[in-house]
Order: sequence, then structure tokens, then C-alpha cells
Amino acid sequence: MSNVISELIEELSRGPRSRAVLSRVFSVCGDSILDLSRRGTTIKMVIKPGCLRAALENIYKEHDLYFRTMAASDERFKEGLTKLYYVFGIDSEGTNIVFEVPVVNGIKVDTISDLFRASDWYELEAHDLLGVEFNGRPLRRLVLPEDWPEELYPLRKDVSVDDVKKVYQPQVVSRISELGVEEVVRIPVGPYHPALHEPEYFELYVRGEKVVDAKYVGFMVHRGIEKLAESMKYDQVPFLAERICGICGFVHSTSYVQAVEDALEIEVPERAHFIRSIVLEVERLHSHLLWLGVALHLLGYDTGFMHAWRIREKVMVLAELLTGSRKTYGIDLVGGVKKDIDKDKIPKVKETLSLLKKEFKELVEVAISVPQVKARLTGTGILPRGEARAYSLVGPTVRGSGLARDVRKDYTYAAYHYVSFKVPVYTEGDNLARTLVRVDEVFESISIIEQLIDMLPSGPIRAEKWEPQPMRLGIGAVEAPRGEVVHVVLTDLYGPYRWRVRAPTYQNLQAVPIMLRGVDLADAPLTIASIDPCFSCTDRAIIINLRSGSINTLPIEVISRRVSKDG
Amino acid sequence: MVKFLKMLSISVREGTATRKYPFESPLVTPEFRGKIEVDPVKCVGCGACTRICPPKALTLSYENNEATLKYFVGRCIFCGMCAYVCPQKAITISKEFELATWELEDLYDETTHTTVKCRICGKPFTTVKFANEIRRRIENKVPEDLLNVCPECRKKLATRKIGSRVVGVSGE
Amino acid sequence: MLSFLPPLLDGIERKIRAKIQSRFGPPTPLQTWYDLLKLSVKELKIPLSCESAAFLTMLSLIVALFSLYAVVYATLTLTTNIDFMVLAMFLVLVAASHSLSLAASATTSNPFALVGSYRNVLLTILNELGLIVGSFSSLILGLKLATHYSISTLVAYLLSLAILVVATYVSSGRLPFDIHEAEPELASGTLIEFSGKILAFYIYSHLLTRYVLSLLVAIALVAPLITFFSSFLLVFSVSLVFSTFSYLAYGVVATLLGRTRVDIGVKTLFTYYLLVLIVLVIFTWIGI
Repeated sequence: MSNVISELIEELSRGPRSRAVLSRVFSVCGDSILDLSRRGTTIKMVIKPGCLRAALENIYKEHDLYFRTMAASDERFKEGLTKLYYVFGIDSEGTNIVFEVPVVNGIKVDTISDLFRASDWYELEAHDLLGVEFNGRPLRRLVLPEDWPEELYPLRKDVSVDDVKKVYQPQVVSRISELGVEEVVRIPVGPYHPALHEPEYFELYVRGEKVVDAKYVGFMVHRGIEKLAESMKYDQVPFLAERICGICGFVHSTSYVQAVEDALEIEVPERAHFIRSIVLEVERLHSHLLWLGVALHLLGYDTGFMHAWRIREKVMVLAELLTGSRKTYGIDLVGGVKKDIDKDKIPKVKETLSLLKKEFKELVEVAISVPQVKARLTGTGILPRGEARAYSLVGPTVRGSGLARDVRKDYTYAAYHYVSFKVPVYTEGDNLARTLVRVDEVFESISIIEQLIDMLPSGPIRAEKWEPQPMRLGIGAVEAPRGEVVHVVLTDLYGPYRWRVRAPTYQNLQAVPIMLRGVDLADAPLTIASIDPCFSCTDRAIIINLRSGSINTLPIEVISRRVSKDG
Repeated sequence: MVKFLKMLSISVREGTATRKYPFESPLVTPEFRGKIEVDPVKCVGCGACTRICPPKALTLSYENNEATLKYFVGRCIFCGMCAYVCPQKAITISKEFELATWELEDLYDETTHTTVKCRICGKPFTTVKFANEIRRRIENKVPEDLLNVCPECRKKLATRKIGSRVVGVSGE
Repeated sequence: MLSFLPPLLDGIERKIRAKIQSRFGPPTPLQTWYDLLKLSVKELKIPLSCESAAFLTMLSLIVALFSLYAVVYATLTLTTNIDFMVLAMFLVLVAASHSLSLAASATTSNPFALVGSYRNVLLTILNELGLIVGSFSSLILGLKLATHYSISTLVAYLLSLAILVVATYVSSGRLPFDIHEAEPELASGTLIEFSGKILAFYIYSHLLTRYVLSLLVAIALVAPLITFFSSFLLVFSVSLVFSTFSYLAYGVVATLLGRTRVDIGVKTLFTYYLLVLIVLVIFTWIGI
């Protein structure tokens, strides 16, 4: 029996690292392994819940595993149990290792959040939305609001959207009339605050000007997208995915179609890969320019903000020319794309890119030389490399702290293996490092687009035919401007059975309290903005334990506390 | 130190980037996707667009012996999938985006077709144009007495035929 | 009549800033007046604890108006013999106006407004000293230059002008020193507490003070040239021109810079004043 499995491990491993991991898990868990298979770059191991923790106990440090995402899926009507899919990645090999853990109802799963700190939120989310119980850790509401009724798990298959509407009426609605806000002006600390761009709630605990700790509650824009997609068809979901985020929508739709194509092994024509890569890079350009403008605005340098967005406008027009819309491009379909790049558009593309290069270089030189900008970016909001690694952070946040992680290189997809480009990495870990990473990425993106345009192959832009198969697991990952986006899809006959979206800000928000400690209050907004948060993508909550635990030592009372005491 | 003064020369060179919309025409490229137009002549009422429309802005309903294709701009996300899948190429994507109005009725566009009734149960199940289009596309290879029967009745007919062969019960 | 000028200048400054930022800005330079008028007809919604702040704001406005008149009077009566009483009264009025605004902002209970106010206190205290020293010495030295010209006096005058220009710039609450309005994401500072008429008065007194400061710089610039002017009216018109120029020049500088952080700002300001003061003292000592 064990010989069969070791042979299987030999056969399925994609390199020394994956072999080491699989052998290690096998030696610890042996009989608890129920299945082992591989498709493409993903190795899947079905393992009993009792052994998962033991298997992962030492793996992290020894074998360079990066925790990418975890999806919980309700399969009680198919196989009688709930399943947890833990996705780990081996960057150096570009391999995904998925641990599929079947959980019979009522059984508690051991937590791995102390081994892989990044898994904290995923376990809470599985508990909130599907009712999975975890041993060895405190459980609290993460995704759902505090007044959500018990025993109502929205992502379960037997809960319909109408059921939820009947049972839950947000208490906020009745609170507003209770407060009678006509006589008194109260300034809410969130989630709707005139200075905030997206609904979020930050509480910064300050002593004088230094931030001691941070509390963040999110999920105000939780729209139930994953549940909605379960009632849609395959080719309708990319349009829903695109609307997950108003800045990085295309990466979500591409990630979704890649996950389905991975699951069903669909051959996507080369031209479609190229078109997708070009549009992805165009999106990266617009996103970084947007971020630069916002960062300069937070520093008070509005002139830089205006000029950055003036330059960005050219990118938006380019996007409209290539795809038909300034932001919600709507060109992704399972198996390819639906809009081609005609020959007569190419000179315009090249012209825009060269203009962009010149103007952006000029802008960055001027903006960084403004004394206030330089002084406030340098040395603030430091993220140490060790923390970045431990929390499995992604994107420019982690590349500014010395870790060279980029999905385009590590788990290459679309047409990126045809082009040569650098992944900019800076080691200081402060706000300036993250800024410079993004600046360099803009120039790299311009170069990538130029290479892709020159190499564009002819041919169809969509796969001719493909057959849906039920219950296949697919993973699609894309390097969004903010970091790694991972989608996990379980297929069904007409649409996805389960779709799990993991946006980069979900991972990166956990780093914000670390970056905020010891920072001046004035730099807090900039530090938060330096991870380029996209709360619409994220909708997660993080509550950090206060070091002191008491509120009396705070010099400034937060108004929201007064409200809750009175009300 | 004084490099930031260069900003002045940049602004002088770039001038004003603002377009005086609505007093000036907006910047719209030839590729822009706006509201769709359904050609009532080419449309056969097959409903392919209604099946792919992600927000269900296009709906096909059968009432009063008519099939009505309703397009509700309020739900439309301007993705263009309807134009992409229409087998008759009856849907064109216009560049219209200034769609705000005070009257909700302005946001509904309708195309109606006459329906074909099932000869067995009498329920309307498809449109005359669609049935003719199918006849044309499959070059009259399907017998007429199946073309005017609705899917439920067709299932019953087929079952009875199989049943009659197996059990010997006489069918229709 | 002059009281009409500050919001107009603010409107022009906004247009210039927009030009530098490649956009149109307000449709007319009179926009700030339209804004103030619109605010004054809007309903008043302020926190209960803010009534004292409202009172203080009104007081500060009155003081600002008085200081304007004082400065105009000083200009009109500027001769080679400086009337120290007028100068002292003027400076007291400016300082009072600032402290009243500060007091107004400190009386709120909103933590965000308080954050801005505490920062403002630090900066203002440091800056008032610079303002007093700068204005006194530039006026005295300027007038001295008009009668007895010497290289050392000229250098000392220029140095005191350097202090005065920076002090008035910081006092005018522009970028990089608009810290009392603090960060956009935190939305703090006094402006978020007021609404309607009170806000209109607050903004107007703020703009008045800005203009008065520019007028101060103008007078300091006119002082050495006083002997060339035959009539007081000429002195007044030239001061007007200089003050407009200095107001708008400040606006352009503000557009090109970012916002400083309160600790950096205080440190930079302090170092700058100290250095210039030391050099100034040395020169005066040499001159004597």
C-alpha cells in the first residue's frame, strides 16, 4: 500500500519541493490520505481532518509553502459532507498543492491559524458563512454583522436569498429612527464618512500623535457575490466578477475564467492569451496612476494628484478603444475573449504608450522632489520582511519589503512567459519603497505591452467547443495591481457550483496594524493607502487586540464609544 | 531642491485638460458600448439574448397570443453579450449613453411577435418567425407535424411512440 | 471698500491654482463671494457645545476687521517716523484674531476638530514670535534704509524680510502649513464644526486675516521707498499693488507644495527662524 503511494508521489511531483512536501505529509499521515491526484500544475490530496494539522505542523518553515487561499464548500447534497479546500503554493515551482478536507457535519476541525497566520480570516469566514467549527481558537463574527441570527449560514445550498431576506432586518435601520438625529449633530466615525472613499471603519488609538493600535471593521459592501454566481451560467459570471471592484475588475473576471479553464482543461487560443495580457497590463497602468494620485492627494499635494489623473485619462481612453468601455471591459468569456484587437488600433496604442512613458517619468521626478512628499514618504509605515512572509502578504506591499513574489513569474499564466520583464523589489519596507515599486511597475507594464503588441499571433480568439463536467476543481490566479488574486472554482453543469474569490487586500489588510504601530497620526491615512486597499474587493474585518485592553488611557475619546454607551 | 518648480512648465505646456461637457461633445471612441437597438424585422423572438443577459435586462414573455421581447435599460450593464449571441444579428450596440429620464416608461423598449400555438394543447410556445427560420435553416428536413407541437406535448408524443413500440400500445 | 477685496483675491488664487493643475476651477473669480453668500443663507447646524465657538468666531471676525482698518490707517499715515503705538496695536489685533480662532476651535468636543486644533496651537505659538520679530525689524530697518542707506542695514533689512515673508506665509494657513485643517482622510480641523452663517463668517475672517498679512508685507516692502512718494494716496495704491502681488504669489507657492507633518513643520520652522535670527543679530551688531 505505502509503496503504491510513494510511487504515486514520485509520478505526480513537479519538482524536488513538491516531492518533499508530499513525502513529508505521507510520512506523518499515511492512512489518513484518501486520494492523491494531479491535473496541470495542481496536485490535490484528499486528507482526513484529523491529520491536517499534524501534516502542516512543520511544513511551513521547512518547505517554503505559501498559503494562498482556502475555500469552504457545501457538498452535503452531493456527498453528504462539507469540504474545505486549502490551497498552498510553491512559488519556485509554480505548483499548487490543494488539501481537500472532507468534514462530516458536527465534526470540529483543528485550526491551523497558529501555524499559518494568514489562515485566520479564512477559518472565521468558513465558520460565519458555512457553519464549520474549528478547534483551538476563538471564533467570532467576521463577515456577517454582529446582529446576524445564529444558525443561518448564507452560503449553504439549502439557504436561498429569499430566506435570508425574510429572517434578517439590519438593526441599523431601526437605530437611525431611535437616535432622532435632528437636534444634535453627530459625526459618525464610519462607515459613511465624508472623507472616506469607500465604506470602512477605522479606529486609530493614539497617544498624542503616535498611533498605538488600530481597529478596522469592514464588510459594509458584502454583496453576496459568491452566492449569486451559483445561480448563474458560466458565461454570465465574468460580468459579475468584473464588478467586484471598480479599479481591478478585469483581473477578477480573468481569474475566474482561468479557474474554469483550469478545471475543465479548456485550450484557450494563443491570441486570446495575448489580448488578455495586454488588457491586464493596461489595467495595471490605470490602477497605479490612480494610486499615485490618491497618495499625493493624501499628502496634500493636490497638483500632483491632478496631473497624475490627467495622464491616467489617456490610459482610460486607450482601454475604451481596445475593449469598448473605460472600466468594465466585458471581454472575458470562458475559453477566450469576445473582442479582437484590430491592426488599425495598434499605431494608436504605441503612440499613447510612448507619450505615457515620457509624461509619467516627468511627473514622478517632480512629485518625489517636492520636499514635503519626500520627507513624509521616507521612513514611515515600515513593514519588516519577516512579518510580510509570515502573513503571506502579496503584491507591491510585499515587494517593497524585499520579497520577490509575483504571480506572473511564479505561477505564470496567459502570455507572460513570452515576454521578458523585471519584477521590481525594494528592501526598505517604508512607504517610499512601495511607491517606487509601483512606479517601476508602470514602466515595466509599458514595456510588456509593447512586446506583446509586436508579437501578437493570428488565429481565433475563443475556444471552439468545451464540455462542462461536474465537480472539478480549478484554480485561477492573476497578478492584480494590488497583488495576487486567487479564484477557486468547483464546476457544475451550467455554472459554478462554488466560487471562491480571494482578493489581495484581504491578505494585506492584516499587515496594516503592524505598519501603523508607532506611526504618526498624520501618516496613518497614507500608510493605510500604501497597501492600495480596495475595500470593495475585500469586505473583511480585522479586530486587533488592544495592548492595554482598557480605554481610559486614551487621550481622545472616540465618539462612537459615546454613542454606544448612550444608546 | 527646486525641481518641483518644473511643475509650472508642465502645466503651461499641457494647458487645460478639462472638456466642457455638456457644452462640448464628450470624448467617446468608436468602440464605445452604449444602449442596444433590437431590429424588429431581423429579430425572430428566439430568446437567446434573454438567456445570456447577466442582469436579465432582456426578457421574453408570452401573453395575449404575442411574444414580447422587453429591453429594460435600467438593468442593462452594456456588456454587449446579447449582440454577440444573437443568431440573426438583430441587435446592434449604439453609442447612446445619455439615458437619464424622468419617465420610467422611456427606459423600456419592446418588440412583439406573433406566436404559434401548439396544435395539441393550444399553448403558444414559439413565434411564427422563429419557426420559419428553423424551417429555413434545417432545410425542411423535420416533419411539419412536429414543428407545431410544444415541447411538453412533443415529449408526450415521443414517449407514446416508444411505448407503443415496446408494449404494443397504439399511439397517436 | 477694501473689505470687498479678500474674497475676490481668493477667487483669483483659485483660478490660478486650477490653471497650474490643468483644469478650469471656478467659473468666475467672484466665486468665493458667491460661496460666502450661499453659506450665509443656509441653515445653521452646529453641535450644542459649539455655541461658545460661534461667539468666539464672531469676535475674531470683528478683530480681523479692526486690524484691517488699523493697517490701512498705518499705511495712510506712514512716514519716516514710525508710530510704535499703531504698530503695537496692529500686532496685538492680529495675535488676538489668531488666538480667538484657536480658542474657537478648541472649544469643540469633536476629537477630529481637536486633533487639528492641537497641531495649530504648536505651530501658531512658534510663528507669532516670528511674525512679531519680522514685522518690527523689517519696518524699522526699512524706514531706516529710506533715510540712511548702508550695506549692513540693507542686508539686515533683507534678512528680517525673509523672516516676515515666511511668518506671514505660515500664518496665512496655506499649504504646506494648513495643518489645522489636517488630513483629508481624517477630515478634522475647525471647518467641519461650523455651518451656515457661522461658517461664512469664519471663512471671511480667515480671508481677511490673510489679506491683512499680505498688506503687512506690502508695507514692509514700501517702507524703504517711502521718500519717493509724494502723497499718501500713492503710498496706499502702491501698497495695494504689492499686497495683491504677494497674496497671489503665496497662492502659487502653495499650489506647488505638499502638506507638511506637524513635527517636521515645527522643526523646520524653528531651525529656519533661529538661523536667520542669528545672522541678523550678527549683522546688526556689526552695523552698530
